[in-house]
Amino acid sequence: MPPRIPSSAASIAAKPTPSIHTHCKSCLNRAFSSTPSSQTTQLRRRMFAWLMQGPGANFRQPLANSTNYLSAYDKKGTLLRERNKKHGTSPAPSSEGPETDDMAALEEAAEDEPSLPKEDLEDLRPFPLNKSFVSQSILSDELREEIWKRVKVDGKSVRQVSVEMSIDMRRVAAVVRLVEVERRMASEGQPLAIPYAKAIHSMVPVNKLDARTRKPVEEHESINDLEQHPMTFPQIFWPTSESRAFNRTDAGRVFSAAPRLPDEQELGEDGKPVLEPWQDNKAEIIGKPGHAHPVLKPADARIPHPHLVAYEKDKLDPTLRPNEVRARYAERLQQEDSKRREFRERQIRAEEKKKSRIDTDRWQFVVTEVSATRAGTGLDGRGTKAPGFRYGVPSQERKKGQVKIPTSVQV
Amino acid sequence: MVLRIRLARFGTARKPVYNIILAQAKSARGKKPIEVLGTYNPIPQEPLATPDTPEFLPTGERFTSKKIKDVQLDMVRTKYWLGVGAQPTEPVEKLFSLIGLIEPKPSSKAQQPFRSTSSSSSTSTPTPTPTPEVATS
Amino acid sequence: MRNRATTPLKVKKNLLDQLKIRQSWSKYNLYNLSRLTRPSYRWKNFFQLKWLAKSTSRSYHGEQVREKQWVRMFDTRIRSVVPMDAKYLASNDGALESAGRGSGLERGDEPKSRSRGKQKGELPIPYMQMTFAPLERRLDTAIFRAMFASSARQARQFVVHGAVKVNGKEMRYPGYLLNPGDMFQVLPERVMFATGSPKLPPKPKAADEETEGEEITSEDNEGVAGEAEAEQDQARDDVDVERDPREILKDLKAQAKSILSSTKQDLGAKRKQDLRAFSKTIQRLLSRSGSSTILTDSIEAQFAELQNQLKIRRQNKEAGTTSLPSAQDDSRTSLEDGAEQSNKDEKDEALSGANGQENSLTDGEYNELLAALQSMHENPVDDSKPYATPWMPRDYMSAFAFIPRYLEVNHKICAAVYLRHPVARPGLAEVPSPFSDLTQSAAFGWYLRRS
Repeated sequence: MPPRIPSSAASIAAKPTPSIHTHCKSCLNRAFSSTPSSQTTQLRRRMFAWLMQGPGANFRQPLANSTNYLSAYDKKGTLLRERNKKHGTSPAPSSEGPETDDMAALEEAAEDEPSLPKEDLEDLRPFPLNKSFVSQSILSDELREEIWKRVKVDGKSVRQVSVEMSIDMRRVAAVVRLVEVERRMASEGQPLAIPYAKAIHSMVPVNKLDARTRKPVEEHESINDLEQHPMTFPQIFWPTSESRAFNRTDAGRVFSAAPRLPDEQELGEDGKPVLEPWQDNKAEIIGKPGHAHPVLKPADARIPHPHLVAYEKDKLDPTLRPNEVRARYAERLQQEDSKRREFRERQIRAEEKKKSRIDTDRWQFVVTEVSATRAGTGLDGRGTKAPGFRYGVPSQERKKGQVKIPTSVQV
Repeated sequence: MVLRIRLARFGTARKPVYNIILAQAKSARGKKPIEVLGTYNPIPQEPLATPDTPEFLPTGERFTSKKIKDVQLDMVRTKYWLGVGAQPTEPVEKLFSLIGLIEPKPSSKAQQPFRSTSSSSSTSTPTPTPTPEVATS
Repeated sequence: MRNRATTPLKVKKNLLDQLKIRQSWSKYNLYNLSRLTRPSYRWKNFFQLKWLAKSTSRSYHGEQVREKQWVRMFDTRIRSVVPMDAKYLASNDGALESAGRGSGLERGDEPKSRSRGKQKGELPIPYMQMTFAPLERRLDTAIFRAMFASSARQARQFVVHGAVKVNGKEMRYPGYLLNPGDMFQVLPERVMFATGSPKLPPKPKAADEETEGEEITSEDNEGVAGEAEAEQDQARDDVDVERDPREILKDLKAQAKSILSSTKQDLGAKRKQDLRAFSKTIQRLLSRSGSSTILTDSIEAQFAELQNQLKIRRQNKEAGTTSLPSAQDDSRTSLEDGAEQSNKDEKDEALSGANGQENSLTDGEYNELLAALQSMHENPVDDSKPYATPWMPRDYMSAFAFIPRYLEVNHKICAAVYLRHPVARPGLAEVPSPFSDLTQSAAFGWYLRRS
């Protein structure tokens, strides 16, 4: 917490000329102190000069509807964008104008104030020293509503919406969840922080909804992010045979110390692989017991949208017409969706089969079938797989240094 | 010696959780039992919401689901031990009669609340379970 | 936890690379941030270098976390992603990269086949900026990053005081490590308090006026002027009661014009007051015109009434209108539509007289007026709040305003979802940090030794 200072001290500090008053207000209030306080050190004076009259004033009265970061200004507090524009070094990209519903209103607004060029990457760095952190855009309200509508009203899958809008699947799901919560809160009449939301949306870069294409104006994020697997961290020198192609599937097997696939498994009849790399989603476990680990899949199977690879492959195929390609794509999506849903349902059903529910007038008793055999407890009775609390193991509950913070909260 | 099916307390202060165990009648509560048959959590838990959980009842009031008491039990082993003459203690007996493993005592029958499987209950009140299941045995 | 985290202005002789930067939006912090320089490691040995780097970066990253705790959280594994191009994956199964390596197929003039990562002038992945990534999982830090609190310590306080829910359940541990998919909510009141400009203390006595005078900025002056004006308006309006409705309406029109002519973006105090005076006048007018349904004092009802009036007006002029209000306005009006449908007819009658005289305001102006009134309705003046009303963002807030991508935030309900752990990607690191790569890598080296 920064030191709290009375506002009067601030005013004295901000004073450009020294005043006759040597006593500050708080000194006058204090009966026990008669010495003039030397609160206003040179450092403080400088700081308030910077904040009030100097470059800091730019942050006190920020630009309207624009980001306003330290790196957008130079040392003297002039806006770099504006300066560049005056010099005529950069063309104004904002002249195209965003296409939104109230275009007329926006244009009117633009007429009132001199239009600023859009921020470039350099202006979007909140921390001048950290070149690799950039303030990235957030989704506008209309965009959120659109996503919610596509998922909830149109009944599209999250995957499909993610591809359409070029927004990460997790983000799509989160947006839907948050909009649902927002609607519920609004219907219940709970107070919303609307002025706060408006202020934030005018301060941070916002990705708007293109009214014509019903998509974000600029691409929001890359949806096919491949997470770097720890298995791929070591650099391996691996001599391979020239007579055989060494592809991503082989590389994955090398990284996980698995033997190469035999030729008949790798290739089908007509030289095409039996299983396309992107279809490969079954885990293959290798290694001795205790050291067993799954084989690393090729990147095609590990990206969030493997079906896009198949789509692109279809596009490259000269025998397929464009509408066929699209039909196949849609079919594939639907199949995948139904498969996933079926799997989930099967899982739930299997889980539910083990349970029986007994209603009393107050509680519902849920009785789950388990098996309490030696397989679970182990021969010494210390196994962890059997139900119940374990015997013969000291309780760590009251030991020093035990972390009691919950590790997860179930929805 | 009498074999008893009884509860053994675990958990912390004010947060009991029980093991349902089979043990010698005279053995200590915390002693290692002959067999652990399951667990019983007497603290009612808020059930997790599922997509099927209705927000409002047809009558218009907010839907509140019943709280859950969780029991995990190895039915096969329990039946076996009951069959060879293990004696459940009173609380365990209540639990078992609720599940339907033993006949409820005539004395407790009067106080016994209505017992129904979820297949019948799901028609009366909506439960968060997606698929109703028939209770065991 | 230590109890204090000061933001000192003072550093040892011109060692501006050792300034303490905090996770906070305070002006002290902003000033220090503007003064912070690149670290100079000229006369330092390796140990000193790492020590300094660690000490400066830790004053920002998880300053409220004990060193021991942090060391336990530190992870040498750095999460990073590479965006993959589906087109590339489809056209090439990776054999192209491996073919010909060392077999003499490679030629000197083809450096691009060396490694795909660098061929397109792709940026390197700033791994070292991810040194403190595990701390971003903490609940208090995430609340600060979502801009629900003005400092990490305040966020921590919110958690401890029970204003935060995780997945709908109250969570009182600021050290709770969020899992991907967790939703956290803060009470909107607390957020408004944390991010709004503070309430001014009650007016000082006249004797202090001189010392205070210099402090008052142009804004304050405006506010005072506005107040004075409002008072005058009040006085005038009191007189108005005796005058005839035409005069009142003229007054009204003039006021509305003045509102509309003022700048659009700046929703300052003066404008709010003008609007308030305006709505008061209208209320008077409405009560005068004899409709019994609208004798209301609550702002909400009044606002709804005004909205209704505007809507009716729009309906009347429906044929020629091109500038419809934005979608949001429509939805809002339609929301209230249902409630007002019943007594609409009476009002229609009551307002028909008024409409005739107000025709000189164009539809665009009306829409704008509606928007202004709406903002006034959403952001009311309420002295009971712990922040200055109408709500305004804090000073110096915009310099710190950013939302990292690993969070998806809905500011209206003050809730956010922790989507995933922060990752590094080519050219970008998602952990917000004011320090350069140099500092971060030295700090990483320090903790590498200890883990």
